Amino acid sequence: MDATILAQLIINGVLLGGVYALAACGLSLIFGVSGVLNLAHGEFLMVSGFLVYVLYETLAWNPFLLVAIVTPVFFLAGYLFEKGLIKPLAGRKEHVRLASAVLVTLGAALILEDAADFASQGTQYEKSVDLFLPTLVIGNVYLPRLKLVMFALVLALIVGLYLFLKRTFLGLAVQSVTQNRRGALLNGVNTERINAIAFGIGTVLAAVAGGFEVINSYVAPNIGLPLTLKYLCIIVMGGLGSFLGVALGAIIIGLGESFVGFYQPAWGQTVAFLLLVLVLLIRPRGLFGK
Amino acid sequence: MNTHDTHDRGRHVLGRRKFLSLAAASAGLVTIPLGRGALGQMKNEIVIGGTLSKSGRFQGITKPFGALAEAWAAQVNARGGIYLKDLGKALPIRVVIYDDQTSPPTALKFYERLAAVDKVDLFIGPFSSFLTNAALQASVTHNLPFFMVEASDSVLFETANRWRTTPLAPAQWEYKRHAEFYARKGGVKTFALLSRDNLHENQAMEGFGDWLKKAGFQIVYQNIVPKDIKDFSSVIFAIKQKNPDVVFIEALPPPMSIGFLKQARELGLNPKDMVVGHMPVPVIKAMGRSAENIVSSMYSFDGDTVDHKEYFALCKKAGFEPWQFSESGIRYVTYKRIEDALRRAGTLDPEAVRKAMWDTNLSMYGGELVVKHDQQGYGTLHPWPTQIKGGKHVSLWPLDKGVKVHEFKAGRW
Repeated sequence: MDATILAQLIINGVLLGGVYALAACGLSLIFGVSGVLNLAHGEFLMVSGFLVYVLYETLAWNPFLLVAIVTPVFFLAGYLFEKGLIKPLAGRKEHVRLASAVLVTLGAALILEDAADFASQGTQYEKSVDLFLPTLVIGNVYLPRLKLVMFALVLALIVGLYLFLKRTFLGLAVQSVTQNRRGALLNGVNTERINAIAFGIGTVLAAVAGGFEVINSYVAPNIGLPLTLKYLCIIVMGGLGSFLGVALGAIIIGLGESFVGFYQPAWGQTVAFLLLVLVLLIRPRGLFGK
Repeated sequence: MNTHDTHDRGRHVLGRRKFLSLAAASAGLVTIPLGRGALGQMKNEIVIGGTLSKSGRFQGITKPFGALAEAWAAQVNARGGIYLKDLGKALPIRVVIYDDQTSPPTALKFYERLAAVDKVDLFIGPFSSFLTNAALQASVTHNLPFFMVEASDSVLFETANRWRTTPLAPAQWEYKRHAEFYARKGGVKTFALLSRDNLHENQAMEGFGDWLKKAGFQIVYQNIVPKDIKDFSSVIFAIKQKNPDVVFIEALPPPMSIGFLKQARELGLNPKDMVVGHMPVPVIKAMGRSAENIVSSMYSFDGDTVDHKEYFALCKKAGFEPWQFSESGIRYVTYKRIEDALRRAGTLDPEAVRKAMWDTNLSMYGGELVVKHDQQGYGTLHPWPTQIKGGKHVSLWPLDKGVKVHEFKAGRW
């Protein structure tokens, strides 16, 4: 393999992993705070992509601006989702609560998928926004500007999230709930409100990823659950609750897909699961799990 | 207990049973000689039933086909219907269409309903081999002729089924004319081929590879990608490394074509020509101006024959232009097959219609297409090359005209 191809595959893997990391961070945040595996996470991503598409078709505004416009809606959606569907399960025994949460979020995922399917009737099933930014070429290496912009935005969002968690009172409260819910409660943290806020923030990250998805490729009603599975792979590989782990896990999967796809495209999509098994065999708690 | 009474009651019951048996037998004796032919005398319409994907992933591709079927039925009926010799009269046709939701079990459910409740005389197939494979079961259960439409995967022909035929040639023939086109056009030598991991697409790509090799071209890259792939960067780098003159991608649903083309544009994949096997409106729309000069295909071509005029008029009546829904060309050929088979059968007897269906020898489009079936049930229809110009498909056939119309894409995204 020549150096240009090697560089190109590494860049591609990192850029790909960056977009994975965004939504995976959202899922990880929700799991870390509330202990709920939100199986509807990918569906929020899909719905956001649909909204961006519909707005783009109607207003023809810059799709990145539209992503910024729709995200507050998804904070509210995530917040209300937690209040309406997850909070009522709180009083149950731990194993019952976990099983119920899986069923509730799976049910919500299926409802959202069917609703998007129904809303698509009479139109094209897959939605895609045509936005092209001229590619940056350095030597023989192609740097797709669109993906670079997305990667920069992802980085900004993750750094912003990190600063929010480390520097703000609310962020510290979120962290305290993640570390020790009972301890946080004893110190006066409103854990129920923090749960809902974490759902809101996590859903916003999924929504931004959905907007990027419709710009970069496409969204369709059935893309949600497979994406949620991939994000689950990433957060389990990185170590549950660790943002650094999630970011690293996402980059590893991006690189894995990039290199395997070059030689054997048919195995490109399976590599996430193979890498997960490999990491868990060596380090059962994930890369940065405690 | 009065045993006499019991005995009498028993005789009475037996008598009723005997009576019912005799009545049933008599009814059977009266009905059998009359058979389906006599029941046919009572018919006042020909009912043709099928499903279409009005929802689910194929909805965008099949959207106007219900209106197309209605337009065809209205046209046949306006001409007085289809003359059936056995009945000594022409009958109007009525088309019953259900939404299969792009789901094989749902498709089969509705084909069962079409036979059991709607009492259709024959089936017209759903969109795709994927749905047809499930729906075909109803033809065997109910012994009804099944006119397949957009279905030609080899899996459909692995099990013998005398009730079905397709107008389509095997998938391997799908791009035969494209190979002929490039042989005539010249200026290219090497090809890279990519298909979505699905039986039809894989067979179509393999077939194209074979036709190209026979025509003296070289295949420098050939691969299959997973159905749900979203990132093509690695594949594009691998193709770039081989530097082919022409890149070909074969995927029936639009997402793969959209994803591949967008990323090819970003990553500077600039072959002399780009061929996208299926280029429906959503792909053209998603690519905007970058879709210009991409070579694709349609199930029709430029011409001025009676069939051309009729097909174009039906599409217009259904509210679309032929290029917008390429597979409407297969639908049109199927309508003509049904008309032809019913006229030759001269009856609605399923066995006679079935035989007529298999014996089809229908010349269309001024002889450019002769629809026949081989012993397996495959037909002879396969697409003609087109090129996107001004956001529309423009036919590259007949060849003499096509090579003049065609422009190499030459990296102009």
